Amino acid sequence: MLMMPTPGTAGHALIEPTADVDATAEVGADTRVWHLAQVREHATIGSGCILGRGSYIGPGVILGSNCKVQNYALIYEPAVLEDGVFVGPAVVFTNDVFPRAVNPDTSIKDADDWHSVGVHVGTGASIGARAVCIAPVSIGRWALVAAGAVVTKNVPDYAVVAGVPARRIGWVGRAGIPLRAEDDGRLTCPATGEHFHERDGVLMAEGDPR
Amino acid sequence: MTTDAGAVRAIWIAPSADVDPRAVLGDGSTVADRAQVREFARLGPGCAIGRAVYLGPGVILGRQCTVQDFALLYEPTLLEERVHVGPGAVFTNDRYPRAVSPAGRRKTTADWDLVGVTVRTGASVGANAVCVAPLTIGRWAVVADGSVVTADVPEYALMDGIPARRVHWVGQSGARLNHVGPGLFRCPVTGAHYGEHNGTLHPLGFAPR
Repeated sequence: MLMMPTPGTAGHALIEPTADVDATAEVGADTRVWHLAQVREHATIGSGCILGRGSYIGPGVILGSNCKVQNYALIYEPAVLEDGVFVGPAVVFTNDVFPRAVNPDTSIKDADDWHSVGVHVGTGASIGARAVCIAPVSIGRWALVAAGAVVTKNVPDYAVVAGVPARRIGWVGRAGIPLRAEDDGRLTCPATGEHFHERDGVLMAEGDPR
Repeated sequence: MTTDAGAVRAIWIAPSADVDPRAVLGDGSTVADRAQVREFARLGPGCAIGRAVYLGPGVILGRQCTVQDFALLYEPTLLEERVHVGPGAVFTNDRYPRAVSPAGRRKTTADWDLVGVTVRTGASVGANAVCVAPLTIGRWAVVADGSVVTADVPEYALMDGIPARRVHWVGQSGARLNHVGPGLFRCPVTGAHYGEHNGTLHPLGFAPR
């Protein structure tokens, strides 16, 4: 996981009394857990994160540093978020490809009757309000999922995806602003001036080590 | 239809709701369980705020608005009068959301420009719809359940889909209008007539029967 600088001096996590943080969960310094949020057992939350009102972080879910999870977002296990990920209000990350309450013989399913699959979100990516990411799926670094999208397949780095099912409609830079096409075929971020090249559906930043 | 006549009615706030003391609630407004009304929000008289609703700082609601369970209205949302927001609807405030700056530092509210959703008198937003700010929803328009609205909505428009497109016209009753002549529509509920001109709809104010 790419580590990024944490602003300010390290302090204790701030957890609202109505939040429900399991004793076995780890919550990093300067992280804020708002009212009615639930962090389940063995979840690991990095430093400088914000977990909004009523949000749900499933057992063993991992969040890097400086992630922002907005109100009532539901992140089911085994999701992994790298650093600086934005998860909008009412977003859902699922964990079951073929959801059923019961087995074919109508007996109720228990933990041994299905395999949980996870959503992986790369550094700096943003998931818009009420989007659904259907596991197993991977969201690339600095990608942007539009509000209300339903993501069913992997999203490349820097891609903007929208709709149901989500399709790529453009590219963004790290500032989240759509890239501008230049005459020489490059793409430029209007905010940072950073240049990008697209090849075979993959976007690479100039000077990107990858 | 409710009226403003009669005695001043009491405000009711559920014990588990979280209403900031700096918020202002109009007479007869109600706030249900576990809703949060943030600082400086202002609600007109007769508003009904459902369970677990979130109203951001400084959000403004005119009279007789209904905001149903789990709707999330981020600042600077503005609802005029008699606006209906269905359960689970979300009004955003950031066109280009990021948790961090390009350099990886955590963003604060000073790091982005808030943009808002304005909903004009009488409009309805369906269940689980998302309105992506900045935009304005015109008077008496209807946004269908689950739609994602990304641009301004004309008055009396029925919007549906992701992204939402206009699929029909509706009257003040919310019913779809019948097409009764060139550029002429009639509400099957009230009998009112409307004229369409250059992509906008206007009440005619008379009833050619």
